[in-house]
Amino acid sequence: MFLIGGGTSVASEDHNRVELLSWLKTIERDFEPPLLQGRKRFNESRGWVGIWLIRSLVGARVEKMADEKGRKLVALLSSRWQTWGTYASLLGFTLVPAISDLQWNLWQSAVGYGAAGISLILSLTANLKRMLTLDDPYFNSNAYKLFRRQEYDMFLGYFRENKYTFRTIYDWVRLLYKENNLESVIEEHRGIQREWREMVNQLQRELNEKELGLERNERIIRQLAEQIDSLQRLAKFNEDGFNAAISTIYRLRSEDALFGTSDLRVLSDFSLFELVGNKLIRICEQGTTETPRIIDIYDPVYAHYSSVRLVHGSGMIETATSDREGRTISSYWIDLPGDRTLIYNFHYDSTNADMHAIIRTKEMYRFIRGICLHLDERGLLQWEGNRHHAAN
Amino acid sequence: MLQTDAKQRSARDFTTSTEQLLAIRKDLDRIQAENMRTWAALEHHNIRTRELSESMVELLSKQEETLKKLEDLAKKIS
Repeated sequence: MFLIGGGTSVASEDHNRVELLSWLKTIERDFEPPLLQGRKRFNESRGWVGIWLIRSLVGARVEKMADEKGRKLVALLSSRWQTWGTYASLLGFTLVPAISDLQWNLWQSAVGYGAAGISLILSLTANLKRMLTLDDPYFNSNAYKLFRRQEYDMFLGYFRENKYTFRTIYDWVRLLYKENNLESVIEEHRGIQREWREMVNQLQRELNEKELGLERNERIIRQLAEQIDSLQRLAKFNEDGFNAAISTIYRLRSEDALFGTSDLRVLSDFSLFELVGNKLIRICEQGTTETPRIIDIYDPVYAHYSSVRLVHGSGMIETATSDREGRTISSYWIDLPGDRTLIYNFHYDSTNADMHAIIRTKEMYRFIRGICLHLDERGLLQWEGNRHHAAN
Repeated sequence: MLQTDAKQRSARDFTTSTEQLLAIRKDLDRIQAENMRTWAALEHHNIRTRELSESMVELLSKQEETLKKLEDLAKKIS
């Protein structure tokens, strides 16, 4: 029941709202234009008698009248042409008897001068009327104050106000109704809900972007850690190489006779072959398990060997997986004076990822070759069979 | 035909320690640049999130206002 009652109350309120807005609109439409014009020309310190007389009797420069059809007669009577026309007629009327034999009788003179007087009175009246018209360019607030006192007092508050108009009142009332109207409040509420949804979506997007950013940061940190490891490995390799070179130099002293093929074990287990014709003949090895003594480079059994691939290739280094599971072999091509060609093989665990990078360095190659040169100079690079024979 | 002359063989597979170091340096520079970009993007998202949180506070008070209006209207109807 109260819902129906409430509904009636709302409907009645709606009706009142429409009525009030309509009335305000009418007031605004009828009052605002002339009052606004009057406000623009409102000047309490401006006199009116002098202006009125000069305009009416002298025909001093006048502004164009507001374009309103009903006032054309007033505009004509108050124009400068009306005044000057009157004076020209008066002058003509006065001069005619002087320059001709024509003399006006009393009746004619009364009519002539009377017409001129009436014309001037009409001009005075028309100009005064215009000074009392709100939307006329000649409107004068002091004349209005004198001749339309009641209206003047009514509109004084409006004239003195510069900011607000009837339109403002209408807009405010409409806005107040709009803001407090159920539909508009619900619509506003829905708008807020939409904004909420959009914001939550935006936040979700921002969150996703941040997550991606953090993932990128994690990847960067991993890459950084990898580079730090690389630097550490490089430093370690240089240190190890330096120490190995120092040891070799000490072992090279002739009195101790320590220097030998075992000095070739620098990084890992190794094997050393010499290329003789189509065969690779083993000179020495350390730590290997299945290295043949002689390898036929055209034997398909050995075709996958890194040393065989190196011989058939055109590079200085070759790498292959070993027959022994989990092992990798990298081979160097080493030329010695006297047209000897050696193949030096590193045998290392495939899991050691750094090893290949170290083996690929020019410094390591030159170090191994340098040791081979010293071994060759000392006659220590003999084929294993020959060495055994010599030992026997 | 076997290539037995070492001078004819390619040594391009070798690198020097300096080259390795330069490669690491270059990679570090790249990482640093990427890191700066990522931080800039994160900072931008931080600012955006802050702005959103401020807007949310504003929206919350607007919502409170409309709820109040709804409450007043509901009172009128009843």
